[in-house]
Amino acid sequence: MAAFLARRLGAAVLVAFGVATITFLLIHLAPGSPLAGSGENPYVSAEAIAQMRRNFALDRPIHIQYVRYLTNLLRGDWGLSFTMHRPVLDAFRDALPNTLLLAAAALLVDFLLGVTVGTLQGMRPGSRFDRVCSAVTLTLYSVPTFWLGLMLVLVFGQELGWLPVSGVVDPALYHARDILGKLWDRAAHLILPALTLGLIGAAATARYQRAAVLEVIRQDFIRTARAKGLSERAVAVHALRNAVLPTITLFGLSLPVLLSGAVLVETVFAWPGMGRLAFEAIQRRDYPVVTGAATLVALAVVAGNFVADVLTRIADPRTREAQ
Amino acid sequence: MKPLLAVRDLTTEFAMPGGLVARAVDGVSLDLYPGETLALVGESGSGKTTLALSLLRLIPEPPGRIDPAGRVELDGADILRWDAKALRRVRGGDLAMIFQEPGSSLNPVMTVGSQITETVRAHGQPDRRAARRRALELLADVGISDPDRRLGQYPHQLSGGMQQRVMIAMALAGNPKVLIADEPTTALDVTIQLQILDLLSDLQRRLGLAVLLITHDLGLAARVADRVAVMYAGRIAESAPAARLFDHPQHPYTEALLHAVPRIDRDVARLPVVPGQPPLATQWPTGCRFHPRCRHAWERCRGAEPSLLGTDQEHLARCWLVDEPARRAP
Repeated sequence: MAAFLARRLGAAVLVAFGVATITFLLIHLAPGSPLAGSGENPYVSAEAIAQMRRNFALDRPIHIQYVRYLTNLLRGDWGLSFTMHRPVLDAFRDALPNTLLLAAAALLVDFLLGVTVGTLQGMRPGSRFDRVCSAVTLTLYSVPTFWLGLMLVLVFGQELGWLPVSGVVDPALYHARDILGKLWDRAAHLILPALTLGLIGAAATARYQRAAVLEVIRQDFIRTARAKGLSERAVAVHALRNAVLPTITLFGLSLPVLLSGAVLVETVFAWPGMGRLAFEAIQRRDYPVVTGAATLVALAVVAGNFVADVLTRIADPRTREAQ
Repeated sequence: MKPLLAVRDLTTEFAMPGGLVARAVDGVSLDLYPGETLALVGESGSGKTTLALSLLRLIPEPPGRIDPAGRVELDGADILRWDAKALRRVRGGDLAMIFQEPGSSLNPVMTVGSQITETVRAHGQPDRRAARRRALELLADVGISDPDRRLGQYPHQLSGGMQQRVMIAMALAGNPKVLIADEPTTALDVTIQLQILDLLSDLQRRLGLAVLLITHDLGLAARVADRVAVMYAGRIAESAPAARLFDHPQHPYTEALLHAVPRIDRDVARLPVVPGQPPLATQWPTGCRFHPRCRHAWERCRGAEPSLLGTDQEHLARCWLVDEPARRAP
């Protein structure tokens, strides 16, 4: 187990290093510059721009910038944002909890709904329930995230007026509320963005889970379970304990996607998270923020895979001795 | 003596793509008496596994269908008419089954112990600790050493022979009267095969089990069976006490099968085989189903299918030669 952890940690460092390098190169190669906006502004003097360029070390050769960025990163210094005039890490510290909350809620919807529906479908393939769910999941899976988000806003925010559609809390009323009121305010703001991400994820998960169950119920050991005189419910437990294995892998892959793929949802719902932060940073060529965000997502990919591996080791005894 | 298990006119069909129907088992009747071993012998595709699965109604329906005109009587009660609950009691209870591939027949992510105890608990011993004690007894019964440690292990940690022993222990959990063994040694090494066979005959003697042994291996049938039924194209081709069947086969198919057994004491350049291909279950030949492959066949064989014929009830063959022995080609 110790060797397994050490190997994973080493891999995490390597991946983070690689992603930081590639992102650094790509964003510098991209047309445009952090100072392009200021350059077009008639009220900003050429001296001021030159001063900024020196301050951000943008006047130095790119390999010098790269080495400086990386050595700082190794020391835990993620640099200063060009546009927000604050440490990148501070900005992440504000945005990350919001994104993690949204991702956790979305994952809950995704896997609770997806695994349940997919399993019920797989146990009775070809039934009316299966056919209806297959149509619904295929449709949901094909729909763009932002469109589903906008539709939910239209229905539950605009027409019915049941739920708030923007931000993390109500900026005007939040502070006046008691603890329960505050909790509800946060939960209410979370529902629509989490549903948007969660429903689309659930559609994919359900299709995976259905295929996994279909594969498992054809196996010999399911026939054995029936031959032993077990109830259909006990047979389903036999099937499920095997059918969760591919879904665990999917779960590991979903973690980073929810971290980075929430950009559109965070934009639709004005959710101050990592996705929006990164998106705005890309538009403004805020190099340290873009590189930092990409590195963070890379770490999330490694973490997601790690979580999936650990869960698989728990769920599948065959993988335990392999290490 | 009354049979313990009486199968009458059992027919099992499968709906195939393109509207075809495969009648894998076609009007089979069999008797299994208490304490005896009946070997059901046949080539792949002859319907012997489908027959075994039909006895416990383990055929997936659809696409499978067991004709309601058939009967599977256990102690006189027809299993095919039972509801799901009664069926669950008899599965793994009076009628237990073991399979060809012990490796894939055990759930890979559950411990040996939990798979045995859940069977014990499903058949009259709901108490968890008593079930565990019973599981330990069962493992010791099937010759597994260190049963305490084995209970906590997973199937992949056991050898193939050990896995089949676990399957047998599981099958014994409900104190069965009948054990259906579908090619129980085919997937195992030769030395392990013998050990498993010895175990089965030992258990049979000790527990008075009736065993329905399904196999393609005539040598195996000769070694352990009291009686043998040969299956061909979904039907019983010949049935007789083991010694009579092997010494005086009546059906040309049985004869051909016996010739195809490799013998260590004879030097042959080429192993004789049963000529031709086994027919498809979607289109059994008209007349005698074996006639396209039979070296004795004449017009009568092409025109009409014989019933099971014989001079006494112990030895029956589905062949017109029983009627007209003079027709037998030299």
